[in-house]
Amino acid sequence: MATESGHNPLEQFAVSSAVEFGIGDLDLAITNSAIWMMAATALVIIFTTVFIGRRSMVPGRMQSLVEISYEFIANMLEDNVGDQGRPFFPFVFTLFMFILFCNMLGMLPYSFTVTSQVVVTFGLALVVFIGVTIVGFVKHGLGFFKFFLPHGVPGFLAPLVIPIEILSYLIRPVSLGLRLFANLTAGHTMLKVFAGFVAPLGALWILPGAIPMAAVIGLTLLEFAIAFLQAYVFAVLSCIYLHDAIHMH
Amino acid sequence: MPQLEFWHFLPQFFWLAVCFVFLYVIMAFVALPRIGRVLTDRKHRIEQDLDGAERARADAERARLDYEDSLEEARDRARSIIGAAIQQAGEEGERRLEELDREIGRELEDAQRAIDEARTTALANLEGVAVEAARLATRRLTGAEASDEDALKALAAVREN
Amino acid sequence: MADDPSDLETRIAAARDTGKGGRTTGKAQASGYGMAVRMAVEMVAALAVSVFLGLWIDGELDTAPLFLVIFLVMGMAAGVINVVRAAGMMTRGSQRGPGRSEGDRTRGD
Repeated sequence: MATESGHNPLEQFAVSSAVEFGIGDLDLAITNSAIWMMAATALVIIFTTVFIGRRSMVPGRMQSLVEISYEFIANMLEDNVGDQGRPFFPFVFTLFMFILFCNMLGMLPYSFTVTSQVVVTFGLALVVFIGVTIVGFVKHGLGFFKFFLPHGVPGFLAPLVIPIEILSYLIRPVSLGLRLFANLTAGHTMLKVFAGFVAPLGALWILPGAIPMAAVIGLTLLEFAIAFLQAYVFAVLSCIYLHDAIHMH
Repeated sequence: MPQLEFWHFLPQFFWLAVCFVFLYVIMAFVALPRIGRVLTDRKHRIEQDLDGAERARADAERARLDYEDSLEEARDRARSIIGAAIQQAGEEGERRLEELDREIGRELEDAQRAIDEARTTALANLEGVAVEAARLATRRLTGAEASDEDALKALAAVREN
Repeated sequence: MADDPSDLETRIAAARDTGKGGRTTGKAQASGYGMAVRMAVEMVAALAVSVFLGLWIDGELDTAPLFLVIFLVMGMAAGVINVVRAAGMMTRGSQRGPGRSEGDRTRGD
């Protein structure tokens, strides 16, 4: 992550086109961001298929890591949605693993953090939002509209409550995408700022350089925690929204 | 903020969709079913092993109980045999004791009877001797001949005092 | 003989328990910092959505700041509701986990 000093700490988020590609007038260039998405996808596939290959009774370290991930998501889904959430297990698992691996890949030096891209986080949030809404309507038909009038609200308040509930529903995907984007962007910007201090201060004298160095190490550890936590929060919130759509509160 | 440059929105979104859909398909149809199978296989296997262990334990427990039962039974039997033997021996002894007792009593009676007989004969003899002695003494002292009846009468009179 | 079978029994029971009880319910701890970030994100999202919708409707109906103001007020209310709800749900979701009975959880897909 620590490149030459004096660089703008936001420059790490710059997207550049690596391979030009397009269909008709549409520009579908493979950007550096797309390359890291593919890397994350490939790593998730390797992680979940290669180590599970030998059907050993006593799992090795990697295999038990895979199994823990599986049961972690399965339990999360069961706790938040219940039995009816089972068909969505592959979706939530994919969502969690993709975000987790993108976040973790972003921790590598000189790498690119896919999940610090607005389009990516909002795209994922939009997929969840649209999917959950479709599930709600498939499950309850037009009765899903009752979702916007909570139980126990007196009739005369309905004109006030319903627009607020609809607005609150529409805010969900925005806050979902924004949360992931903001956490990853803020963390990496901060890391970059502190890392920028290490080299010039270190060139001056070793001791002053050690202070931002320690800060960088501390921040890096914090970033690893956030990388996991944000993937977890994204998945849990998706589960909660799914629960709402299936059970209507 | 370079993230907000509009030109890369579409290509990024396109590749995101491609990656995500691809990953979803692989997860849903290849990876997750396999992991799930491995997990359920192992769960069943562990369950089976535990059941086996449980069964073996129950068998061992039953065998132990059986053993203890038979031990107890043998002990009971031994105790009853010993008790019976003791009782039998006691009865035998008592019977023998009684028999001996009876025998001794009988001998005692016989002896008593013999003694009584001897005493009566002795007493009878004594009377004869005393009569004879009285007649002799009478003749010598008085010169008169005393009859047996008189001698007997005198003897009885002497014995009265 | 006295190699106690009761010990074996407890060991078997323990083995069964570890097979079941190994639940990893990651709990998002609500530190002050995390709470602040969550609220900020929620409010910014509410603000963004209501400004967007307000400006759009105003543009369509040419009613300039009327709907923007209405949506801003409603957006703040919705944002607060979302913060409260998300907080409640997150704790409920993580608390529900370990307390529930472990029925037959055969996830054989």
